Parts: sequence; C-alpha cells; structure tokens
Amino acid sequence: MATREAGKKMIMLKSPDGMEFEVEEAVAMESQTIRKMIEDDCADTAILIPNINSKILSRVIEYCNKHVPTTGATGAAASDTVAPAALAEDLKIWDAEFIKVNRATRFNLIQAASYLNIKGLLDLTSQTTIDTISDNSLEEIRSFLSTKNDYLPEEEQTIRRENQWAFQ
Amino acid sequence: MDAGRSELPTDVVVEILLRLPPISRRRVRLVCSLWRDIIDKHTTEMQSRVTALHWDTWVAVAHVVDDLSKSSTGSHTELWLPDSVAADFRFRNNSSLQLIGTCNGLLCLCDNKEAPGGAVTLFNPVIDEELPLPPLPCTRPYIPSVERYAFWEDWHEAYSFAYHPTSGQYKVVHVPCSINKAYKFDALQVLTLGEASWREVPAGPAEGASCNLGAGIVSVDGATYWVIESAGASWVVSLDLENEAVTRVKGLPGHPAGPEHYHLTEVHGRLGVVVHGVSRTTEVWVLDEGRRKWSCQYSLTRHNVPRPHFVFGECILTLEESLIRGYYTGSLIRGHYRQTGVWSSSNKAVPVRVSHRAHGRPLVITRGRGRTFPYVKTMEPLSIYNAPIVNR
Repeated sequence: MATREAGKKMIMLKSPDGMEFEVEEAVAMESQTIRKMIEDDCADTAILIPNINSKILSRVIEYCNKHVPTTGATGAAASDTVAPAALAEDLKIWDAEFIKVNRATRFNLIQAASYLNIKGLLDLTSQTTIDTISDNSLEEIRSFLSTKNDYLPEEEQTIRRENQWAFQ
Repeated sequence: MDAGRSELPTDVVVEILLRLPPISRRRVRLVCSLWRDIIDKHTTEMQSRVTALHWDTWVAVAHVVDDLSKSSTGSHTELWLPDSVAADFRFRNNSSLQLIGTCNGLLCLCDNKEAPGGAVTLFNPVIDEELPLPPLPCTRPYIPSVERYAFWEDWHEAYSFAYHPTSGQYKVVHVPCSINKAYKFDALQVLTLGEASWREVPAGPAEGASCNLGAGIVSVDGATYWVIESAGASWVVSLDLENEAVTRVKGLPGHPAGPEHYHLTEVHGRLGVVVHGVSRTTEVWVLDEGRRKWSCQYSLTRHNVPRPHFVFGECILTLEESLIRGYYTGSLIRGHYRQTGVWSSSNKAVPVRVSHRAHGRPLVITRGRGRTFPYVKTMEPLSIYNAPIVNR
C-alpha cells in the first residue's frame, strides 16, 4: 500500500466542544461548505464548525474519508485489483452499516449534512426519515419528529378537502 | 441527547419534504402548518386545478374540460387511453370498458368483458402508467347469464375507487350485491394498492341486505357509501377506509318516490344525495361533518344533473339529454355559475337555486350517455405499487 505523500495538505476542523480533527484537505472538501471556505481563502489552519459536536463531527469525517474519490497513486493501485462495481457494492454495505445509529444521532447527522452541504450523506441520512414518513400514520409521524398538530378542527377539514381537490 | 433536540430545524425539514415522493407530499400537509407551508412554497403539488372529466359510456372516451372557471370557453381535450385497456363493442350496448371512478387524477377502469367481476386497471394518463389489479377472488363457480351474449354485465357498478386522506392509501372497494341473478358476492372485498390480493371484510349491517346499485357507490373523505334496502326502508351505509368497519349511517333524505328517484354524489368533500322530486324539481341533500344531519344545499328546477359528480367548486353542471322519438341521440353538459338564473345566499342554510331560466355555458356534447368525475393532472406514479399478481 502506498504511503501518504508528504505534500498532502492537512486541514484542522474544530468542534464547539473544543475537539480538533486533522483531516486531508480533499476529505474536508467533500463538504461543499468547507470547499467554498477553502476556495475563498477564508480558511485558516483551523476551521470552527459551529453546532456540530465532536461525536457527530467525527462520524461526518468518517463518512467523508470513506467517500472521498480515490485518485492518484492509491486510487490507481486500487482500481487495478478491484472492479468499480465491487467498490460501489462495498460502499453500499459500508453505508448501511454507518447509518445504524439511534434517531437523535441520525437527526444530528442530517443537520450536519445539511449545514456542511454533503449531498451523499444527506441522501443517506434522510432516507430512513423519508421511509418513516411514507409508511406511517400522521400521528406516528408527529410523535417521531416531535411535531405538534397546530391545526384547528376546521382548518384540518379544509386541508383534507384541498388534498382531495374537493374545494369549498 | 435531550428530547427537544429530536425536533428538526426548518431547513432540515425542507430537505426531507422535498425528497418525499409526490404521493406523500400532499398527505403530510396535514402534519402541521409548518409542513403545509413548506410543501405549498417549495413544490407545485397543490397548484393543479381540478376540472371535470366526462366519460362516454357508449364509446369509452374520456374528455377533460380544459377550464371550469367562469371564463371557460367550453373547450375540452380527449384523454388518451392505452391500447391494452381498449374497449369491445356490441350492437346497441355500452362499451365493455367503463370508468369506475377517479382519485387525485388517477383513473380506475373496469373491463366488463372479463367475468366474473371485470378486469380492473388503474391508469395515470399524464405519465402513461397503468397498473392491472388482481382479479376478484371467486368463491363459487361463475355461471354466465343468458343475456351475457347480448350485453356486458355491469360489473363496474359494484366497485368504488377511494383515497384515504390521512393514511394516503388508495383502496378499491367491491360492494356485496347481486350483480346478476347468476352470481353473488357474499362479503365486501377490499384491495389496498400495493398489496397482492383482495381481502374480505365483514359486511356488518349490510350483510344479506339488498343493495341499490342504481344509486351508485360514492367514496368521500375516507369512507365509501352505498344504499341498502332493509325491511322496507332505505339506509345509507358506509365503509370506513381506515378501520374497515361497515356502519349504518342514516336514512335517505328528501323522501324519494322509489329506488330509481335518487342517487349518491359528492359535494365539496361531503356525501350528497340527489333526489328527483315531482314537477321536475331536483334537490341535493348534503350530510354534515358529524354525519347526523342532512341539509338541502341545491335546488334545481327543470334541470337534470350528470352523475355521479356535478358540483366542481363554484361550477354546477347540468345535463340535457336529447331524445328523438324515444331514441337517445346525445347529451350536453352545461356549466352554471353565479349568474342569471342561479341564486345563492351567503346563508349556508338556504339552498343554491338553479331556475329553469338558467342557461349556463355548454361544456361537453357527446353522442353517448356519460358520467362526470373530478380530474386533476398528477405526476403520481403507479409503478410504486407494483405488487406481484397472485392467482388463487
């Protein structure tokens, strides 16, 4: 296995609870938000990621590490031995394992993916919630997402009618 | 992690709701006002306008009125139907293909040449997707009636296509009645879209009672309604589409003179009964939300109304049929708005009156008899329900 080239630029990510994570720039740039910061030269040696605690941030980095496109010497070596389809399959299994987390963690991951603008992670983390919404009753959706029904009975009737295109 | 944190920030809710399939988007408008506002602001889901679809029972052609608003020019467009659901014709009889009903822009068709029960297919004309449904399970051997060689049996009249607004499920309901003397379905059958086969549901108070299929079966706001004749009295019964319980709802309003003098309809999301009285007056009674009281909301003089749906928002449809020497030669659907001859009060207790002087605007002219249903263009896919067909 090829060793990490000395020239690779490293970025320091800081969580609000004071933890620091040193990651390759390419990995950090999986986040469109961080990419923009780096490209606009707003990034110093350390970037503070607000609202995302170290536990979540470490998981996000874990995801980015796995999903960063393997280019250069390491990438070439890998594609010589493993077919792209098998790699994609491997990644799918890895994703399925990655998303086996509790609800609160998943919501935090959605929030982090949304803030950091990581499309793949957002798709992955929101899919379970999308399935939950599609498969459950309105009451179950409300309790699952801690949302309150704020409609008056008359308003609810109106929306029921609108949803069936039965207008007043 | 404290409980409050599981509440998602608005931007995350937006991300999730935009990723929902169109079928779920409309339903989740009921979750809370924030969700409704997000759906209405970020998607085009609720911007489609409902219009009237006219189904010609003679030639199996569907026309959609382009614009039902007051400024309508009366233009209409023929809906394309796939070859696979093509109708068969017999001399002096309706086509074999009939429209059971529509829900949110999906068409539910029944081909009566398949016996028993007909072949039911769902179709979305906008995206050209169709979904054949499994055949009704048969508990007894089917004996074709003698008339079958001259006429199609009206299998489609025993079905209703329904949508449940809070669960978002679509169901096809088959009501237990004797379609013809030779074959009788004993229990109620329900097919939930996405499931592989029909389920039997106890008919409860409707069991064994004869059903007035001529009055139609209408599905409104999460329930399917039909009329049974029991011990000399007529009752509206309903199937709740969520818990699938059949209940006796109410007796009929307006004292119809006989089973052929009334039919069921839908008015602004509620059940209605159209009663044809003496001296060519037609009254339309609507059941209140608590399903306890009927109130007369329309009164039409010397006007007939198309079936089963004739109220489309502000527009009231009337039907004019022309007969020459007793032979049916065509029908004309007219749209009436608040104008000369149509009188309405802001007091909901006073019915909207359509006088014999009201002319309305000609909307659809057809040779055959027809049915009118609500229609809206939708991108809702049918492929998501592709359950394997199980043959018993």
